[in-house]
Parts: sequence; C-alpha cells; structure tokens
Amino acid sequence: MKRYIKIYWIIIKLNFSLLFAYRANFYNSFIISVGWGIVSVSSIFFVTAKVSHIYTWSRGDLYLLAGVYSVIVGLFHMFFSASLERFGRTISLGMLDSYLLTPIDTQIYLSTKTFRPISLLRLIIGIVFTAVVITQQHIEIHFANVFLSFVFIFFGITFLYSMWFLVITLMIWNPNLTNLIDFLYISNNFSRYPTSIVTYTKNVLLYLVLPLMLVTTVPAEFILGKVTILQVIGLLFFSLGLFMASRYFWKFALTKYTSASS
Amino acid sequence: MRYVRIFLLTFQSVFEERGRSLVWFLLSCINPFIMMLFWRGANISSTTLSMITSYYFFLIIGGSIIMSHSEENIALIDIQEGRLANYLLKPFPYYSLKWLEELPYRALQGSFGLIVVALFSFLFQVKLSVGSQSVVNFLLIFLMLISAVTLAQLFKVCLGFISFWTTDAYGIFQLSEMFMFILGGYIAPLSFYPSVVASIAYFLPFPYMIYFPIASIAGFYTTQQLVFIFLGQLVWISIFVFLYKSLWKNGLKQFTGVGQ
Repeated sequence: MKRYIKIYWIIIKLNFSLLFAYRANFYNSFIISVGWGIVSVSSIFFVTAKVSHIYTWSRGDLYLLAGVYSVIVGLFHMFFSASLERFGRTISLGMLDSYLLTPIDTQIYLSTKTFRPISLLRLIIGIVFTAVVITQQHIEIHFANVFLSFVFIFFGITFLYSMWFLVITLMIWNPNLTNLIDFLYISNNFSRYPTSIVTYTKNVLLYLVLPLMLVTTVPAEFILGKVTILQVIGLLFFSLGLFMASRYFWKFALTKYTSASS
Repeated sequence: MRYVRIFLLTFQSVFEERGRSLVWFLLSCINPFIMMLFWRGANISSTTLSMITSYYFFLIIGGSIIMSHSEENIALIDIQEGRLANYLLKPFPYYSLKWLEELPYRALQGSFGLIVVALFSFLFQVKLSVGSQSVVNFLLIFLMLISAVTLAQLFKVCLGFISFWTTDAYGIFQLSEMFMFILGGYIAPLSFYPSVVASIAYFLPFPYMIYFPIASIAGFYTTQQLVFIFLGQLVWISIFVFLYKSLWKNGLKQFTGVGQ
C-alpha cells in the first residue's frame, strides 16, 4: 500500500509539472474546465427559470444537486477519466504488454496513471456553489453530515469508476470502439438529475439508469435530510457490486487479450 | 454529375463505419431523452408538455441532420497534418468538397434519428405535435432547414479555420460547444430560459442553427415570426460567408504544405 501511495504521489507531481510545461495547453485546459464547470451549474438555472418544482424537488434542491454533481464529476475527472480515456489507444498500439509486465496491479496502474490537476477548478466551482446553496437554503450542517456526505460521494465515484472500467474493458475485444469514451462522458449526465424523473415514470426499462442517478441523488438528499435507507443501500450495493464485477470482468478479459506488439 | 459521384463515394466510406455513426447518433439522443423525462415532472400544462416532448423528439432528428462536426477534421487533418495541399490541387472549391464530405454523415444520422423517433413514439405512445401549421408555414420551415444546414456548416468550417493561426484549437472548439449547448436550445426551448439570457441568445447565431428550426416545426411560431427568423438566418449566412472568404484568404497565407 505504501508503495502505491508513493508511486501515485510521483504521478501527481509529474502531472502538475506537465500542466505548466506548455502554456497554451494550460490556457486551453483552463477554459475547458472552468467553462464546463459553469455550464453544468448554470444549465440548472436556465431550466428552472420558469418552473418552481420538478416532482418533489424544489428549485433550491435542484441547485444543490447541480453543486454536488460538479463536486463528484470534478473528483472523478481529476483522478480517473484522463487515464481511462486513453485505454483504447493503449490496447490498439500494443502498449498494454508493458503495463502487464510492471510489478504493480495492472488495473490500478491503468486507472491512475494520469492525474488531471486542472479538474481542481471544476471541483472548486462545485464546492463553492454547493456551499452558497446550503447557506441560502439555511440548511444546518454538522461535521458528521459533511463526513457522511463525502462517504456517499466516495461510493458515487466508485460506481462511476466501475461503470467506466467495465465498459472500456470491452475494448480488449474491439480497440476501435473509441467513441465508447464519449458515450461514457455523456452517460454521466444522468447523474445530474434526481431519481424521481425515472421512478415516477414506472417504466421498467428506464430503471436501468437509476443506479447512475443515485450517485448524486443520495449525497444531495442526505444534505437535505430526505434520503431513505433504501437509497443508501442501493448506492452501496451498486457501487460495491459493480466494482467487483469490473474487477472480475477485467481479469476475464485479460485471458482473451492477444498481444499486438510482441 | 461529378458532385453526385463524389457524394456517393463519400457515402460509401461513411456507410462502411455505420456502427461508429450509430454510437455518435445515440450519444446525441441521451440529453434530449433525459430532458424529456425531466419536464414530465414540471408543473406545466399538458399542452405545453406535449409541445416540449415534440420539441425534444424533433431535436433528435433535426440535430442529427443539421449539426455539422467538420471543424475537428479541418483543424487536425487538413490544416495540421497538411491534407489541405491535396484539396488545393483539386478543381473544386474547398467548401463544396467539405460539404459533400459532411452530407453523407448527416443523411445517415438523420435516418437513424427518424427510425429512433418513430420507434419511441410507437413504444411510448407519444403523439408528436406540430401545432396548427399552414402550407406557407411548412414551406418557410423547409427553407429554414436548408438555411440552418448551410449556416451550421459555414460556422463549423470558419471555426476549423482558426487552426491556421493556432497550434491547438481544442479549447475554442469546446467553448463553441458550450455556447451551442446552452444558447442553441439543446437544454430546453429558449422560451423557458430567463428572458435576459433568451434575449442575448436571439442576437447570436447559435439559435438560428438548431433552436429556431426545431421550435418552428414544433409549432412555436406564427407565419410572421417565421419570416423574421428566416431573414435572421439569411443575415447570419451573409456574415459567415464574408467571414469564410476572409479567413480562407488570410489563412492560406499562413499555411505551409510539406511533402511530395
């Protein structure tokens, strides 16, 4: 464990140096990160400008949901998405061999080899926005609440990571399906909205996206004091279940992997 | 005839990768689909809800037919990798060739859109509403759709030309995506936005590419309003034609093609 932390710390430092090494690239990344952070928060302002409620969610509740979403997505993009989006290229260029030969766990290495420091901005936008909404809504918050909210956010990120890893593992069979990454980026949007938009439809097919919505709904409803024990169990069950599934699927996929370089 | 031949050849290569095209199309469906579910929970009248649902269905079809994505190819392949030299030697205008390359994508993705919308409206018993439209309105909407395709293609080509001056225009492309997402009507009909934001949007080119044509099909506007919107599109097309010519003329002076 100590060795992994040491390696990850080196990765973080290297990625920070890389970010500032190319100035134009830094400005580019800055615009993208801040821009999408603002878009994800402001879009909820626009859609709720002329309606006060969406199912049982008031306008203020939806703002809080948007803030929590920005925090979760900011953290996820910072730690995982940059590494996972290069997976197709890693396989098609036969670079997976070199990862398999390293003396650390391949899944961990592949999932964490790139750290995206610029997503810190999006995270900060999310945290500030959430704090403003909490203050304006006069929601009482204690240390225990904050701690438990972060526990739920942790499980939410575990769910997103496992879903991404499970899907990109498919590229072992077909490395050309690189637009699966775009599919995953857009699928994250489901977690921007409350679970009610699916549960009220009573449509069985739509329940498939329900776990993805729990990722943000559970921490947000917990802050609002509306979360049910069933929702919490649902989030824990899907996060841990999908994490184990992604682990087993990855090990199975490796047995089918044929090297391209050697 | 030569143009038809070029179109058919491009169509062949696009159809070869129809699986990828299908995934791209499905991606564009996710957002309208979520928003449709979202609005079902809003405290609005059933007539408004029916209009919004129709709007998102038309957005799925219209978005795939209208919205070009040629800017990345222009920036990365043509300008940065130097394939532009190849185009310059051909006896066809660059813009026409780019349009012929883009049209097969729009045709294929538009047909996916029609199939998906037909399937969904059948499965979920959704009745698409076009309001009470006259023949004149339909004619105007048809003209608006053609103008929207032209405007979107001109806008994306001009965006791609920024690469003549920059080494990496990815940030600018993303910025334009953000504006398009918010002000183009992808999140919700602009009439649901705060009036200040909607008023700003009406003075920009983004809603003239997607929002106005789609909202017109969904029956949001009267004949007189349609005429004004169409005129607005023509104004934006003129501006972008001028911009295109200027960027092309000056950009070519920046371009260096290396190779044999």
